[in-house]
Amino acid sequence: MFEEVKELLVKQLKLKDASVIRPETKIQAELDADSIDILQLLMALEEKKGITIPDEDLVKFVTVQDIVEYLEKIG
Amino acid sequence: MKIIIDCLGGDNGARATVEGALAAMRKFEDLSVIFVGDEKEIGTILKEHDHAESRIDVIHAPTMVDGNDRPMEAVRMKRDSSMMRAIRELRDREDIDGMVSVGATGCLIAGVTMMIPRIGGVRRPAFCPILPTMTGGIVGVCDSGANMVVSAEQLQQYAIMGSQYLKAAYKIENPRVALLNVGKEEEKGDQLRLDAFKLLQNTPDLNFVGNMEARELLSGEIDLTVCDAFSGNVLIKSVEGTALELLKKIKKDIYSKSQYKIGALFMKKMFMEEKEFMNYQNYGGSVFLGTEKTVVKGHGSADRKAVFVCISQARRMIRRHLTEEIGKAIEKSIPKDDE
Repeated sequence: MFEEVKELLVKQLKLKDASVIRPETKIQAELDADSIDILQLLMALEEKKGITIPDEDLVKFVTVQDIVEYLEKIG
Repeated sequence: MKIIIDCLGGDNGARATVEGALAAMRKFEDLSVIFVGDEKEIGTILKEHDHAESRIDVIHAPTMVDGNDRPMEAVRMKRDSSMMRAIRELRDREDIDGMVSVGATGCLIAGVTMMIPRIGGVRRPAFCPILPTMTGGIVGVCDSGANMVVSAEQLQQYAIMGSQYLKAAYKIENPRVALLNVGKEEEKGDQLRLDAFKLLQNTPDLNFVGNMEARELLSGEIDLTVCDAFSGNVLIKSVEGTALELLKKIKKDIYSKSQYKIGALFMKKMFMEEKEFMNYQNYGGSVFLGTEKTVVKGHGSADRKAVFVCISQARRMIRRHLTEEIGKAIEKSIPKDDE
C-alpha cells in the first residue's frame, strides 16, 4: 500500500526523487504540497480504489503513513 | 488536434454543442472532436448533418451536472456525468488537447481544479472571461470564479497568465494590465492590494499600468483586470446587469412617445448593430488559465454560433502553445533561491 501511495505522490507532485518519500514524510510541510495537491491526490486514490473518503476524514492526513493506514483500515 | 466536448448542461441542449462543433470541423480540417453525452441523442443530431465520421468519437455519459449540484459533490458523486467524464478523459488521454463545456460553471471550476494538473509553479488556476470594450476591443477579468481568497503572489500570477492568454488568443502585443481597486492612487486599497501593487510593479515583462476603478472596465484603456474571484464575479455581473437594465429602459422610453418611436425607426440599424456588438456570444467563452490542458467554458445559453466561437478559441490557444508560454512566464517570475 505504501508503494502505491508513494507512486501516486511522485506522479501528482512531479517529484524527481522518489526516495524523499518515507512513511513519516509530512506531505505539505516536506513535499511542498498545498491543499489542492492533497485533494487531487485523495481524489486519485478514490478513483483508483473505487472508494469515497468522507469530507471530515480529508483533513486528517498529515504524513504519508496517515494515508496508508487509513486505506488499510477501510480495506 | 482533438477537443472533447461536454454536450450536456447548456440551455440549448446537445443540439447547440454538436452543431457548433460540426461547424468548427467544417472550418478547421485539423480538428477532431469527442462528444460526451447521450449517445442516442448525439447520434440523431449527427445523422441530420454531413460529417466526417473519422474525426468524431462519441462517449456515452447521459447524466448531467446542473446548477443545483454542489460543486465538490458533483465532482465526487457524479463521476459518470458528461462533464466529469470529459474532464477525466482530458486528464488521462494524451491525444486530447482541450475541452469545451457550457455546463454548470461552479461544477466545472471544481472539476478542472481537482482533476487537471496545474502548470508547474502555478499556485491556483484562474477563470478568465472576456468582455467587449466601448472602443471595439476586449478586456479580460482574471480571476472571476476560481479563488475567492487569494494572496498577492496569486494576483501576480493571474496578471502573468492573463497577459500570455491575450497575446496568444487575441494577438494583443503588450497587454495593459491593471489591478482592480477602490481608487487609482498607489496607496489605495487593503493590504492585499498594496502588496499586489508592489509585486506587479516589479514583475518583468509585464505592462502593469497601475490601479483601476470598476467604472473603467469597458473604457478600452485596459486589456486585463486582475482581481480575486469575488470582486471579479461581482464586477462582471454588475456590468451585465447595468447594460441589460439600461437597454430595457431605453426600449421602454422609446415606446412611450410617438416621436421617440419615429426617431428610433431611423436608428433601427444602429440599435441592431449595438445589440450585436454587445452580444457576448461573439467574444468567446471564459478560459481556465494555469492548467496543463486547455479548457473553455461557454455561457449556459450558448447557441451553436457561440459554441463554434468557443471551440475556435480553444483551438487558437492550443495552436499557439499557450500552456507552454504560461509555464515559461511563471518560471521567470519565481525568485530564485540565490536572489
